[in-house]
Amino acid sequence: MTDDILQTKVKEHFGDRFTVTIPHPNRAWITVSVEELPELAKWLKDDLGYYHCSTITGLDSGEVFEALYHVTAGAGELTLRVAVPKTNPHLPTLTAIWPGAILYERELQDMFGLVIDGHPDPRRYVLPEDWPDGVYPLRKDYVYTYQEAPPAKRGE
Amino acid sequence: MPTIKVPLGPQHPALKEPESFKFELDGERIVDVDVRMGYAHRGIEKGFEARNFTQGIYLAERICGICSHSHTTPFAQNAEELLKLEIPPRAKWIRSLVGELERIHSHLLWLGVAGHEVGFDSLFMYTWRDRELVLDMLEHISGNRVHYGMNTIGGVRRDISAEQVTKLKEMNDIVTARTDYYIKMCTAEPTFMARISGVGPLTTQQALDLNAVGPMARASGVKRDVRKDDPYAAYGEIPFDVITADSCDILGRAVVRVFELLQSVKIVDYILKNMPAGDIKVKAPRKIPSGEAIARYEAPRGENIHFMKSNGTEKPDRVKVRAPTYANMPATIVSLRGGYVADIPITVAAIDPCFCCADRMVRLVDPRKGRNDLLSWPQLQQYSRDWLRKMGTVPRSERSGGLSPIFRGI
Amino acid sequence: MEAVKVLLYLLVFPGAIFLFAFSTFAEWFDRKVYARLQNRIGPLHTGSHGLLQPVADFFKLMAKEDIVPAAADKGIFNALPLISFASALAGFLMIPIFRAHLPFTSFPGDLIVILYLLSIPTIIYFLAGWHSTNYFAMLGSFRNLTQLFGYEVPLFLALLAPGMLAGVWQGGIWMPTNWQIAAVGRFYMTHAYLIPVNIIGFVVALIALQAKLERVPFDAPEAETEIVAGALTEYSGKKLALFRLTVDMELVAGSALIAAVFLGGFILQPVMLGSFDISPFLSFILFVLKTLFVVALLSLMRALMGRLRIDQTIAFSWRWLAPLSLVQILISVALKALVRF
Repeated sequence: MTDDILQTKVKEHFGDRFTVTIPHPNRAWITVSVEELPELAKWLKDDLGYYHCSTITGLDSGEVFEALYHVTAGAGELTLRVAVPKTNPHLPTLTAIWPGAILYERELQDMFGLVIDGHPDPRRYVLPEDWPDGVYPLRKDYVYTYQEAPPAKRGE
Repeated sequence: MPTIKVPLGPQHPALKEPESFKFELDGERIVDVDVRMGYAHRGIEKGFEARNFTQGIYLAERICGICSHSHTTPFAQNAEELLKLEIPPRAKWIRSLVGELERIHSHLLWLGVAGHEVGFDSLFMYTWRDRELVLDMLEHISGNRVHYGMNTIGGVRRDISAEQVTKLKEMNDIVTARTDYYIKMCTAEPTFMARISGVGPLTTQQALDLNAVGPMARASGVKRDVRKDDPYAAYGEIPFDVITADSCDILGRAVVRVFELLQSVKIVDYILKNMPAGDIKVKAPRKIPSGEAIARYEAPRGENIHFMKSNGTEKPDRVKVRAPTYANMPATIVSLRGGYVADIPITVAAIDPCFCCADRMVRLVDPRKGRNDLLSWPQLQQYSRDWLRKMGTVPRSERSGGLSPIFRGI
Repeated sequence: MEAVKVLLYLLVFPGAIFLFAFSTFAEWFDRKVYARLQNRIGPLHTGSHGLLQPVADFFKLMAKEDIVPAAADKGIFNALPLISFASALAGFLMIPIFRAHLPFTSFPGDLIVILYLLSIPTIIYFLAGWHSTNYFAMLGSFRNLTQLFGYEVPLFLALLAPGMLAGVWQGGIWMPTNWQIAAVGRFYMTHAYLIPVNIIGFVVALIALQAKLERVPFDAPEAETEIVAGALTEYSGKKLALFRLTVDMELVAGSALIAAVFLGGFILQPVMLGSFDISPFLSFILFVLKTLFVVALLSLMRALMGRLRIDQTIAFSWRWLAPLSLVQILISVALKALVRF
């Protein structure tokens, strides 16, 4: 699935609804809204053969959250960028399309607080059981201060 | 017979790193598995945001010991892509060389661990003895057996002189000869094959659906290798084959890894003979213009993918790392179901688990007291003692009904 | 005088102290052979060439903390190591090493008794795992018994086969050995050309002994990577020291038994050097050599193979070991009927 074939096929099927930007060879990006995401994802899997979901990145971009779905059909990596408003952070689950994404969506929930609707197993994934609710470590408002440890004194 | 729930981990002699599996057993057959990861979580993704890019390389290296180069290379590649920097060819070839040496020592390690998990300690001793040769090779060029520190943004930090190349060639020939022995071992030794043949099945369709990566997927016939599909470093110019197997079981994974060993020693030989001369790095500015970049790398365990977003400052805005073991977890769970208890260690070991790659988040917060600082070591010990006491390791035999309290109520 | 002699035989030689020394020596020998086969060195520093390593391990374990699980039955938990130690020791005493102690320890049927005594430790391991109230230990003890069903029959049949053949015709009357190990050994010592007849039984007995001792490839009951330490998971300190010593003693007793029954035994006729009978010393040397030969074969088996799953062990035992041991018995019976020795 080379970049130009991808561009032509998307234009053929969706017209101008989605534009494919290619800032770097083998790296394509499509911006899509939350509602259109399942339809595009299904088409990519069934018609173009994007069977492998590499991972899902969560971003805290100030005004909105963004979820980046990195998928591949073997050669290049296509990324679907979805903006999610901070006031209503819901995303539909894509485990029906990519069953392997089950753990990545759990991580999004745990770390960012994005709620994945319809996830088959929405338990905590990486954080411990007694982690307080509502604290999401990878958001920008969770401040992590890196302190250099003071050098150890002799005899300690 | 009603099913019994048995925990495996987080501490267990079969597991090289802590993670917790909860098995539901019917006699010796596994009915279901639940995986709980996060025991080696260290807060690395958040840690990247607090360090500049050069410090980030060192942090990336320490995501894992055996696949350290697999993390620094994509990190550096991401930074170079954002800087629109073209690194010299010699640097790319040196990166590939270290990557292949890492693959060799990782696969030899896996072969030994697999032998140990099935009780074949002689195989374990032999492969680790040969692995020492490869670690000597790496120490010869980088000074370290693991965590080589070869990469920097803009190229590599150390060059390889002509005498080093000769020395490496000699050692590589020895490793090649030993690889042939292991190929014979994996394909002909009866007790080893009896333990891994037909065990841990994962059909091709399951491998595709569950997005398995690396030798786990290739043993189920999925011919995917990032070095061929999406070439990086010098792999576009080096000839090699992608190894797949059709047996969809652990024997297939072992065969794939052993033949990949053979390919890797050939690649190392090719690199040593054909490495171009020239500079090893270009100067890179400290501030990286804003943008986003993705890099993929074929680690010994599978596809490693890094995403980096920068915002024009010295520190990255977001770095996302997805290590291959993380991707293989759903496939492992499926391949464990229906198997025997005796096959648990070898099935888990067959994905070549590197849980320190898979867990990367901080647990340095004391949430009950609402504090947000770093716990010192004695504080951590006290925290864990309190936590264990809460979990019930104090014996209360009248409630546990005769079962050892550690295994109650999980 | 007799009482002193008996006490010496029981406690010093070939009793407790000698057995302790020899079983630790046999463990050292086994570990050295295993290590050399794996391109390693094995025990090296404790004592010259590491000879004192197993002794050091024993005393280190004796000094460690002894933890009893709170939910376990203390009486049985504590008694089990002693019982298994005692039965292994009693079993070894039956093995005839030199002529002088034969009147006290050798009797018709002692082959059966020693087989019985050597089976007791296996049952004890099962009980140990059961009483540990730990799931891994229970799983280990189940596997112990399952494995017992596999190797017990071939082991017994194979060890009895040479005894069936042994026996002499004296004046037209058949004088059987009546399962007395000393007599069986004596028979094969004098009719050494008959030793190769039992080769099938020898191989079956070796493999079955390896399964009895729960060593690779038959150590599923004790598989470290699967069930921590099997039946003995919860044992520590002095009790674990005694259990491990029992395993060593079983190794020695089993190997000596195989050597006594298959390889001609150790008892020699009086050999005079001047007016001094040196046959006991020669017997002793023969004992050490033959037993260590069998131990070396077992170590070789350990180094060359991986661990079989428990179902594979049982399948192997019933498909191969049991039929072969029957074949050996048939050979013995046929020879006895056709030829007069």
